[in-house]
Amino acid sequence: MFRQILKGLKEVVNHGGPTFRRQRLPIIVNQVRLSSSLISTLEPHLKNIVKQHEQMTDRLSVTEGDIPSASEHRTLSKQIAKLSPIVQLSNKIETKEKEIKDLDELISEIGGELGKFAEEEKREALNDIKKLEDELLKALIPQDDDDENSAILELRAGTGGKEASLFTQEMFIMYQRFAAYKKWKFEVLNISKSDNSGLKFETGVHRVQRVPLTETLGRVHTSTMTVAVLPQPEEVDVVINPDDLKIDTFRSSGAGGQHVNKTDSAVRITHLPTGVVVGCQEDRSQIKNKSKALRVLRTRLYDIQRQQVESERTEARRKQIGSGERSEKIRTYNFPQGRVTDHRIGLTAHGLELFLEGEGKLHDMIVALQSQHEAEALQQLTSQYNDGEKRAS
Amino acid sequence: MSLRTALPALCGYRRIRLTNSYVRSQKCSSYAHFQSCSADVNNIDSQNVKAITNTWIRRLQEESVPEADLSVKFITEHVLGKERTRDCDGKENDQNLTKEEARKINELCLQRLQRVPVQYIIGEWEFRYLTLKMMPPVFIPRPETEELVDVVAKHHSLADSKSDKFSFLEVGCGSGAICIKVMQRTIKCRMKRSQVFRNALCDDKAAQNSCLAFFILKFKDLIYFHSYFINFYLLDDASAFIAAATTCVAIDKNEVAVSLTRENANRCNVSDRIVLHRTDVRSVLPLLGSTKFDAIISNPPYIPEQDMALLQPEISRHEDAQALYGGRDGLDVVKDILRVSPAILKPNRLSSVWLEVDISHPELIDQWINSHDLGLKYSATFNDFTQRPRFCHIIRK
Repeated sequence: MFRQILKGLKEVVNHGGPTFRRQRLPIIVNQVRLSSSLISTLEPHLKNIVKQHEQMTDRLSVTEGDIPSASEHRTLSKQIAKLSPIVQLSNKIETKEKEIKDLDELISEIGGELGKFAEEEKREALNDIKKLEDELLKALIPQDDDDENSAILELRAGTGGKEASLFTQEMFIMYQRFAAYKKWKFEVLNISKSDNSGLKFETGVHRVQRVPLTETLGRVHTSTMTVAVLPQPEEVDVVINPDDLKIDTFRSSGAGGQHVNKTDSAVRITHLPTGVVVGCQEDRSQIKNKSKALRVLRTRLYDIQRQQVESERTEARRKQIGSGERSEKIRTYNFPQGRVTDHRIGLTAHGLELFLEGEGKLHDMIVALQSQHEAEALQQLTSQYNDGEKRAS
Repeated sequence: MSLRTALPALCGYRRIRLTNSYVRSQKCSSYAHFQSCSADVNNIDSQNVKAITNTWIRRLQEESVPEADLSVKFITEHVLGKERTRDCDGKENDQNLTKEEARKINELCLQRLQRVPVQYIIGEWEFRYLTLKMMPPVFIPRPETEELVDVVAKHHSLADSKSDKFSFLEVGCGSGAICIKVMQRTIKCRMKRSQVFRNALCDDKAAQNSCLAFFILKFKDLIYFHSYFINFYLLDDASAFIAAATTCVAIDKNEVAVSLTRENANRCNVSDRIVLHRTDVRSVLPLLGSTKFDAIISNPPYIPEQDMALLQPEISRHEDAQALYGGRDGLDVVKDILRVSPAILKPNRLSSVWLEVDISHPELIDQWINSHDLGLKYSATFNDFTQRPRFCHIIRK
């Protein structure tokens, strides 16, 4: 309400004394800029982002001559969608800062009862800025390129024989339920269509400690299974040359065509340059199986690419959880004690049964991992810029 | 008080039930094993998925029915649904089926013992991304044919003809797989990307609609992409555009095939673009009147006489021989189609006849066309996914 009144008032002042204000302007030199030290460290980074955003929007609005191609269009729109929240937030902060400047003028101009209102208004604006800055910080945390993509979840039994495979089955059900809880589309052949921003923290070796169903003497066994979350790339991310593929079907021998009626529609594809072999037999249509297998192949190849790039940047990525280092044990499911412990953040959750339901408890654990990851990533980002400044000075 | 006594009693009951069904499943499998030769298979009274499927797989294998385990898998999936089949898979001792389900599985597996094709038993099969109804004795589409659709769509997408209408005749439609899929596919291919971008920026409303139609098909998930320059109020017209794009006349000798195609076309929402006739290719001309087509597509009966005796029982006993037998050399219907095609093809450069044939046929067809003056020219042979010559492309001279 006060804001409304003041806005009206401000306009009056604006209209009333432009020359007057211009004269007084140099006097109001007190710095309104109270942005947190973090944001100021990241200032160059932020400016860079705003600039990038501008360039990309310009490129997209080209309608004559060098029109962006469809794939360029797609990547650009994607990137813009990624950057625009940051740009919007920084714009909002800017307008808030301007507002505060105006309010300062107002306070020093009129004072008295109305000045008090103005000061209250200013306090409010400062609070808003703080909130916005927090949001901005969150938005600035470097995102994984593949957080937007769908993911292929690969569960494998590790050491422990049948017990391990039983545990893997239970874990599969847990993730299936988690996907349902998150309302993600879940396709079997372990292809889940969903954003994997949560699931990527599940990558690694999961350890289980319990008395297996197969155990007759009541001893506690320790088994493991592994989870790999592979981001499913867009078609443009990995281009496969059809000549590099060897496609095997059961129909390769015999007359084929109308002479044969078989229901086996399994397809096996070998990618000759890398030797990666994928197969699919989930569906009854061969062409569907083929395209599914190609999807998995593309994902595998993408993962290989990614790991290559990643190993080149290990230093920068070292702090990020789980990616690349699949050999480390990330979590223990201790049945006798009914607890789940995540070794990366040392968090223990009780109520193992509920955890395996794949709903709230798993979600909480992932949220904890996510915020830990965000904190670390932010720290890394600021230290980068601090280093840069030191080097520059 | 009563609860305290009731609980252990209930638990005990459950344990007894578990052991019971376990014993039953054991007995059942050993029973089948020892007496399988004379066993009446209806006696499989287990209500456990694993027990039933294992018994049936063994039984089918003993009778050397091909693909025993796959057949049983498809039948169980059909009765229980994929999800439940997977969920039930792990548990071995549970009584995880209702009586009705167990009876159904037994009944369908029994049909398989008589070499009925799985596709007829479960009444449906997939062709590319469609699930189509299958009904005996209508020919079951083979996976090779899935690729014929690709080849056809690719060729006719190059169309530089001014009109966006594409019409074709299918000879021997069977379950309707080819004609339905071609109708759904050509539209996607016909809109080339460059054309789309040109259209998006011009003022012509029809062109914009076609562009939007393309986007809806291609980038369903990337809304922000096409909302970038097109408004959504055009949506209704766009679907009208898709509907008008491809039309088809399909014929089959078999009345059951014609009605099955009609039913499948209904399922796939293309029935308003398809005209069906029950007729022979030789007597099709008077029915068509002056209608001309961009393409004639057919997977005609092409099995030569000497091969007919060697077919697997699934085919020879259950599929319509008329859809398979192609005369002495397997080319009877092929020749019929080629004889009528000059009269019903549009006089365009791209007008073509598309045939799926036996791998020995492409050469023979080429020779036959050369020796007969029909105004046709053999254009190309395309390989199937086993890299063998399977599809023939014939154009006007």
